[in-house]
Amino acid sequence: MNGPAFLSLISGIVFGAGLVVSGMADPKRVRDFLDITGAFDPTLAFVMGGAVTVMVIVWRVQNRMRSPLATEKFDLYPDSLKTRKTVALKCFWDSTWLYDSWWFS
Amino acid sequence: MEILAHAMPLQGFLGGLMLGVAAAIMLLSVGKIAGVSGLLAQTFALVSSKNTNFTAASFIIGIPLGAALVQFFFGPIKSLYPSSLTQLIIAGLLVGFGSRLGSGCTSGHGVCGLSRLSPRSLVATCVFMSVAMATVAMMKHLGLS
Repeated sequence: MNGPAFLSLISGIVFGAGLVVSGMADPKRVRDFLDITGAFDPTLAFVMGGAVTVMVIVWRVQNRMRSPLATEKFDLYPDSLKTRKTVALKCFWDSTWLYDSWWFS
Repeated sequence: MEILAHAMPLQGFLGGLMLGVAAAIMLLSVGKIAGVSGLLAQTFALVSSKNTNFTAASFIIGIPLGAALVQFFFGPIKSLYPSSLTQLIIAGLLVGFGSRLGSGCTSGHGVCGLSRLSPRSLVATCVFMSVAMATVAMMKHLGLS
């Protein structure tokens, strides 16, 4: 077993343990979270709160890293910040186009 | 409050921190999003990935191992599954189809995406949570559960 696969296995084990500790291994509990008109159980919100708290910090660390510790490249979707820039540029481009079409009409 | 009688805020938050740590190991060392549906898809080479499928497969194998470890040290866990095998297979197919259609599930979009302030994950999480809530309400209304 190589390095990344071993780390991946460790991560999976922690993940599985976390699911059980949080009660999320019980489909009934997940369904009760969705059952807002009945036996609503807010536990899933606390689980996501805990996980997101950790990951907010982790993304900040990741932002400063050139590559992951055990592999060569990050295997991620385009950075959301870049996506936002693309969306902003696209909006700007479209607005200039609209402006031009109005100007030349 | 009566409705919160069976809630587990403390265990939930603690377990959530563990899920966060797991996602942190995955992201910072392997460079992957710890999204269960995505990694399962990579395991069976349904989508392309930069690392080997074996890396994704290791994560998937780790999940039941971690659950088993907790059971070994802290006793049996409460988990209520339907007893009908047909029902389980249909449910599993629906979960798999739906999460791939949405490009991710609670772990990928919900945990990794929301914490990254990813717009597409925010939209996905809001959509699948509200549709799931509507589905549960509808099934109750139709007397299917």
